Amino acid sequence: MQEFHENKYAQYILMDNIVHIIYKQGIEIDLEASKLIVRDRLMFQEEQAYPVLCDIRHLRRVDKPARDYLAMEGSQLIKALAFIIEPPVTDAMTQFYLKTNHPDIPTASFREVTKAMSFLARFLALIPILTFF
Amino acid sequence: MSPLRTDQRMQQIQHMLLEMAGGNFFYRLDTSDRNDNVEALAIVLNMLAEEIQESFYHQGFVSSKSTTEHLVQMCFLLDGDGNVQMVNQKTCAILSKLHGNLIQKPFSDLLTEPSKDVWQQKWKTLRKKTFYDMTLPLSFMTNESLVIPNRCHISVIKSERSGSRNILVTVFHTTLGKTFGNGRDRSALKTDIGGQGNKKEKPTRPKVRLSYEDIRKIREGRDMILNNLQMDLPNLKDLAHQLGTNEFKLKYGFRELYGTTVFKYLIQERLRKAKTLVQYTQLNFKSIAKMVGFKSVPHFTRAFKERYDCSPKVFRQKAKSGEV
Repeated sequence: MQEFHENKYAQYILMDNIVHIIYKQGIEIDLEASKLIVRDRLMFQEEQAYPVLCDIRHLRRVDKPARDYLAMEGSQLIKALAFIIEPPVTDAMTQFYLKTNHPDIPTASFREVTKAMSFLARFLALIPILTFF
Repeated sequence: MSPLRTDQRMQQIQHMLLEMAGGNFFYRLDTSDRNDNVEALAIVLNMLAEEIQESFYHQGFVSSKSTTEHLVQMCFLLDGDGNVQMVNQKTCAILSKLHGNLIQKPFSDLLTEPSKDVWQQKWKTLRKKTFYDMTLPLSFMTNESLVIPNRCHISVIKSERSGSRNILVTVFHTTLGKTFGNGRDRSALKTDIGGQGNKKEKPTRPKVRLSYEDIRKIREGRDMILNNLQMDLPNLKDLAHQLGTNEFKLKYGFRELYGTTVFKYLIQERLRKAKTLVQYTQLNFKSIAKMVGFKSVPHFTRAFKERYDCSPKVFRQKAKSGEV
């Protein structure tokens, strides 16, 4: 599996069995963008479920159709999700998102990458869903 | 942030809140890359307005008694140089600008900075056409520095007589039959008032009245289903009791809110999830079927075909060739 991928909106890096998604500065996420972001992640992961670290510190705008799409389709093949935020803006955005959508995967937000990594490490030991079948 | 800028931002936020209080949820605040408390407040307020606007449009009820209406929010007639020739009356009210300050001014002056760039790009194409239609998302800036993002329908028309070219920009706003605006669509409001005045005509009541508490419980049930798609659906009576309601209200309410039965909704959502996996992964269909809760591959394939008019195999081929 490739360990790095990049599109217009984000960089995808696989490091220590954790997928890091780093959103770029100055982008706006609309429905088309959210579809591309999910598609690229699923392709990048090549059928494996991983814990995902999502660095949204540079993100400023995700519109309503995009939020709905990410909430409904964005959680596939994710064991757990950690947002890296920087108060106050991305903290408020994450809280709003979690208040209006109820993701079905363990989700938490952190200011420090190391703390996020130790949260995600708890889900590393879990056998990937696919090995059941 | 300088105190002056904070003051300006707070004033904009106040304007936006007042517009929302008046029932206008289509205004937005202009946002920037800054990371401070005022910016956080502005972003959350924008997202809140989006959520409220959507809930009025959808209102959570699929079989809502009112129909949706597409109202013309703003309408501009431009000349061949892109200057505004005519506007409708509502435009002045929505943009908080005097009629005289709109006429003979460049249309692009009414747009936000990013929209100005988009418009200028498109203008190069538009000026070459004589008979042409297109839609374009543009954001308008009001006098109070609030932003109105919307899809604009742009038509290039040519007069047969004089040969002059004009551009018509129409901005639509989708709303329910009932207008929540601050008297901005008086005809819609009048119909409502008339209906109330006539005491002989009693409105027909739905058989069951769902309280907000009932709706909350049904939504909770939907979240439970969505978060456990791969699981078998429990007995509806048990599910209803778990949610603190009864089977009848659950069935009736689910249909009212989501337009289908609990069981069909589950299948629909399983297939939606499966579609993404068929489209963007190479997982075999047996794995996908199991991941989304189908007991067997033939069952999954049949249901998939019924919903998307082609088998998962064909769908994957189409996805690869970029057809879907």
